[in-house]
Amino acid sequence: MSKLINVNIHELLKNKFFYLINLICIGAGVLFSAGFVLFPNFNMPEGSDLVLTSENILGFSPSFASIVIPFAASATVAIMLESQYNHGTIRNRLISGHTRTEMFFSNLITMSVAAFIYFLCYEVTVISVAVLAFGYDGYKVKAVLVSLLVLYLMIIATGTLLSLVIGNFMSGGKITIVVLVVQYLLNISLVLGMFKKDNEILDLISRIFPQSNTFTLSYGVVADGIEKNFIISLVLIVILCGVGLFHFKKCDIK
Amino acid sequence: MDYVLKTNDLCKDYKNFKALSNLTMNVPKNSIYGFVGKNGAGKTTLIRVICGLQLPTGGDYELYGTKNTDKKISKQRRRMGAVVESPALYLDMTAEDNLKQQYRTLGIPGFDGIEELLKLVGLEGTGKKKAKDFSLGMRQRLGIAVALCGNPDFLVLDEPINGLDPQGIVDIRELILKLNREKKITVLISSHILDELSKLATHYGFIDKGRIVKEISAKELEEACRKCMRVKVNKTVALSKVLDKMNVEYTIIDAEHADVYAKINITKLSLALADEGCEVLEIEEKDESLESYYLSMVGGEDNE
Repeated sequence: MSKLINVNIHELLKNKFFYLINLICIGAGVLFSAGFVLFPNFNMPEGSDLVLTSENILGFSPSFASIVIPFAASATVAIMLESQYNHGTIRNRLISGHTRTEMFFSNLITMSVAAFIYFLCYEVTVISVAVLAFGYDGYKVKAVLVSLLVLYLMIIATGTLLSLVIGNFMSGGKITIVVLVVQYLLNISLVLGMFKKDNEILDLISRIFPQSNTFTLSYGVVADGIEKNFIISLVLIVILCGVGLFHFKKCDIK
Repeated sequence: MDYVLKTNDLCKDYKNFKALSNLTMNVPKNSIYGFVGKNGAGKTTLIRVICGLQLPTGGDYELYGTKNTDKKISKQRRRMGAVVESPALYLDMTAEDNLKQQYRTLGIPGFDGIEELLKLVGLEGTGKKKAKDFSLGMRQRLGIAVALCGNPDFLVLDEPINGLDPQGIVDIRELILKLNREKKITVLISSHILDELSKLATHYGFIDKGRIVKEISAKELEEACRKCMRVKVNKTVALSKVLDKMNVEYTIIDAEHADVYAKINITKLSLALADEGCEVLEIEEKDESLESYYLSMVGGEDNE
């Protein structure tokens, strides 16, 4: 598997989109931090859980990674799978004697590493801007680290892994468009999450998908407790890995 | 005879379509095996199955004596290289980077031999030009170079000359011959361009509707396609006696037919046969090409 991870990493580093996405993540970090300070109550939906105060306003911006990073992670998955399926490089791997299990997990690991790099770019920027430019000192390091770990696992589950499984099911074609549309639909749960008190189904969806907890996750004060989000993310990762691997081991590759 | 690849009643079904139907074929070591069939006959499906891209729904195959159900098959696959349909390339990378990626995939330490490979396929001067800017012929040659990484002894090429210009076709043909003769690489090459295949192949497998209709060596095919006269008589024993007396090369096909490989005086032959009490029923000149042989195998237009 290490051979394939090596191949994937080199492919990623040769791809200009990887660097572009990193820059976008940094840009989004600056934008969200500065935006929250400069326009604190801009376009906030009525009845949402969001209560912005001068004490917590910059604490929200780290968890906005759950909006930005899944797009970045999915785009990377799509770019890599497009090369593998549409340009046929996946054939070279199979003919070279690699098993499908190795191929699935090497893709997952590389793509998760890419998502982590985007995540890091975003978070470091957000926290740097908050602390250095706006003098914000409300971060509780331990709480932030726990929240970020859960956020990252959520991104792996709903961004990287979900896109990888969808991409493998599609085996080529317009992977990029489909995975980005799926991410967009997932982001709608952000809005659902704001109104989750009104409807049981929306409440359930909002508890599963991370975007709905965006406004509270940075503080670790999620309604069901952050441990629950952590467990849900892990369970999603295990289920998606199982489904994805089962399909990938049986599927025909052209 | 040693075989690199043997398939045994191999089947591959897609929903309502049988792409391979009890296909049995044998690819001898050091041969150039021409895999002949029209579009949709099952050539690419077979190649996909033996490359591990698709799983058979019935039957089995052996690669270097290892069955596909054996876990060691992955190890045996490392001994083969393949270009299936279009060359599998990283389009945003140079020729050299593409080969480096394949070296990494195979886990070959260092990048020794990349320059020689590029030289072998005539891509040594492409420098920083990316694969996406290559011509079709250059991509095809780069695809073959990628397949040759790790020094495989079995090369599988699926329609390698499709869409190439005449010079490209000559380049690929010479490259395949060179690989077979100098590096002793066994080549399985699928094509429906029979004229081109006849310049390369040492063995042929004719495929139609997912099954092998005939396997034949180039030598046997040459004999089958030799210019001759097919004579139909009522007693081939008498014909044989007369032809022996005339010192002419011939082959008895069945109880009524014989192929005569010489220009003979038909009147003399008829008279001699009459003396033996044998009647000439029909004589026709037979000059079969690979194309007509193939059509006779698969039934030509009737088979569409």
